[in-house]
Amino acid sequence: MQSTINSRLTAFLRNQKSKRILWCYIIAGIFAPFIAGNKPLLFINKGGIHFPAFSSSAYVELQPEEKPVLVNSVDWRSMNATLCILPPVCYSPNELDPHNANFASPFGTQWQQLTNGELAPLTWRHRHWLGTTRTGQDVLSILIHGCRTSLLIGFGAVGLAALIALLFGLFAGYYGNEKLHYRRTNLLLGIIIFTLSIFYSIQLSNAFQLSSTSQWLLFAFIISFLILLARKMLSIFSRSSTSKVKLAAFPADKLLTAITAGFISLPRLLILLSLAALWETSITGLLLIIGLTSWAEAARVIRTEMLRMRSLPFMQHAQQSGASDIKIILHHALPNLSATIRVLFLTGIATAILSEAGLTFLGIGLPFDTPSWGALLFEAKRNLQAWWLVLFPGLVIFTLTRVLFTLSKK
Amino acid sequence: MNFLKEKLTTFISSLLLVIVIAFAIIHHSSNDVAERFINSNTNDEVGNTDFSRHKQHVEIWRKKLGIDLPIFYFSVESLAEKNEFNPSDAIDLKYWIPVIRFHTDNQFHRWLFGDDVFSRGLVRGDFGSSYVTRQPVTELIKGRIGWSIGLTLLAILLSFIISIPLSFRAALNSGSRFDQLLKSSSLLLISLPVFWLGLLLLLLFANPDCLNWLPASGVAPISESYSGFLEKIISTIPYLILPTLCYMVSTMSFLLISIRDSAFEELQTDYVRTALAKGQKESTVLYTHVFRNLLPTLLTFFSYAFPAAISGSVLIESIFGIPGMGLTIEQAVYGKDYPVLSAVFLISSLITLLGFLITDLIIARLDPRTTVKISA
Repeated sequence: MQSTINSRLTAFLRNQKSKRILWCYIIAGIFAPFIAGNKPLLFINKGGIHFPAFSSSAYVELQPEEKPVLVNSVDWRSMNATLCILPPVCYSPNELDPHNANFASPFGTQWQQLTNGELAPLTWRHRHWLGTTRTGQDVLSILIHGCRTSLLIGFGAVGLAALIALLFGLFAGYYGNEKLHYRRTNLLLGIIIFTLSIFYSIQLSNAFQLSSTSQWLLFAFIISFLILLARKMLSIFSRSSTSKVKLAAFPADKLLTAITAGFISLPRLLILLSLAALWETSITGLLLIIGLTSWAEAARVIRTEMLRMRSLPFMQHAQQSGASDIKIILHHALPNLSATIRVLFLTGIATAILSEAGLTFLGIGLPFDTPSWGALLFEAKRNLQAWWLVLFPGLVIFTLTRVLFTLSKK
Repeated sequence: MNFLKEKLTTFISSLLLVIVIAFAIIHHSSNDVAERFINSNTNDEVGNTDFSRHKQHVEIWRKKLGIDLPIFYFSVESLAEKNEFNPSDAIDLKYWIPVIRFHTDNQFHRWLFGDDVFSRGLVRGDFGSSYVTRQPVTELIKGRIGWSIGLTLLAILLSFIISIPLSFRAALNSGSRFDQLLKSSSLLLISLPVFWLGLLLLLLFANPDCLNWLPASGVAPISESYSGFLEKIISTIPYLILPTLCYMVSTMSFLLISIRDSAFEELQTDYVRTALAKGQKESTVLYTHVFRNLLPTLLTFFSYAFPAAISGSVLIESIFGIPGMGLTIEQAVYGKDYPVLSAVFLISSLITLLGFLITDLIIARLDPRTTVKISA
């Protein structure tokens, strides 16, 4: 009894500590420009009170008589001001510091250039606490802005993968092979008309000189909808349903499981590499690629859970009471799957962040002006004397992954 | 028989996807394929390249490589054959009638079976020529597969040998401090990024400022030549310790927990309890009853670990400079060398899929209960 209470207490506290650490990461990701940046949060001078960090306009007028000043490129530290509050880390990730370039160590002396042109040691306020990279970018500010990149890619990729996995898993598990019955003629007609509508939508989009994929899809959607409507109206004139009608079952489970099985056994990193090599990558590109390759295991797990739940009493009662299929899936089944989905979600985010860091580490993922943890490790690979480029980004990735895996255990 | 059909359908659908992706890597844009083969080294004295005959070169190569052929065996077109489209064509009725045309001579067919003039085709082992070094791809990757597969197999075998006794002991004394230590260290290992671990190990062991015990990269000392086979092996060992350690960490993190959970379930079964009640020694029970019944599960873990290690080989080989397939992929992606990338991707995926299929068949032979499906 004592050990059970003790173990549950430690488990709960461990979860609480992990949740706090995760919230730190999320807040660092959301408020990154206000924690690490070179635009001051508050700037008071004779011209008035300005908040450059929060302003969305490119120019700010410092003195009423002088001309406006470009917010991004002016050196705020050298301006005359009554009060200037910079963010806690006073460097932005893309800012090159030429006096501290070529890997300034966190423990050595760092230099600044005074107004009369000579070099002097840097004060504690403006110190690079975790060192710099080759071009003089501050490591601490890249770590903080990299939170934003990694969390965006993690949540986005897993959101996309979860959508596809839920679609496949729920429908394959619920409908099975026997449940979707249509009239045989309608089924065949539907398949033929669907393929024809794709052809006609392409021809129409050529005729109207539309070139983007989304407009093709919109056309296909509209045309299939119109044709199905016409078919529904025509079926009024066909034989009534009381006479003998041949029904065929659409094997949704077999089809969806075959597609899922095709995607499960593919080696993920190799496919990510090949796809990233074909198209130049940005955050959204990487998000799409990672999401589209990692939904298969989740789909299989969700389908197994759905099959198990289909025979439970409350589901059968709902079906017999006449609830529609969509309502049963969304309203009854999905909330009971939330535990499984939570586990898949959290492990998926961890895997997505590791994949993105791995791809950028190889040099293939994000472009190097986007702040990313893998880019720091990439620089470290070539220059192993800069141990601060190895230790700190890796520690950040390690902690985030450990926190996510701890939270995902039941 | 149903079991075999199911596994074969999975294998064939994954194989089709792999072939489509491998084909798309090479032929995704028709400009690339022709222009990469042009050897425009016609320079004048200043070094300006002569582009006046560029279009002719492109045309010659397009005919040679067959780029102007259609892509696949059949294509859906309208009855009115037009390559370029004017909006006034839309009024023509023939524009709206779909027609399926079949072409036996197309790019896909050439890629697979080859025309005997230029390439011998994929089924006869011709993967094309590299864009960067102009040599056949098979020569490029011939020596490198051995390093990748050898290192991966060695690492996985070692991790199995180490993790099976540890996990069995943790399953026996479940709930003890050893078991909790195993679980927490497995969590630590699984969240350790493999590339970070490699860099840290390099910093620690191969650093002249720190311990300088192990060499940093490569697989053999450059200058000296060893005559004997045994001496060659002994001289390679220091180079292989760190990469093997990295592979082992990433495999063991998964294996420790999985084997412990499966062994724990086996220990709750009736026959094990009977054997222990009879007075059998624990080690005998473990290695005759539990291990034998776990052999299919262990084979399944092996079939997951091997492709994961091949995927991770890209990262590890790029850190440690091992001339294997991972390094080939990385160089191919940098140099946009699509034939090499497609060939290595095809070979790795083929090894993965064959591994899954063979493991399933071996498991079916070992434990015939898996072939019988209990219908729900």
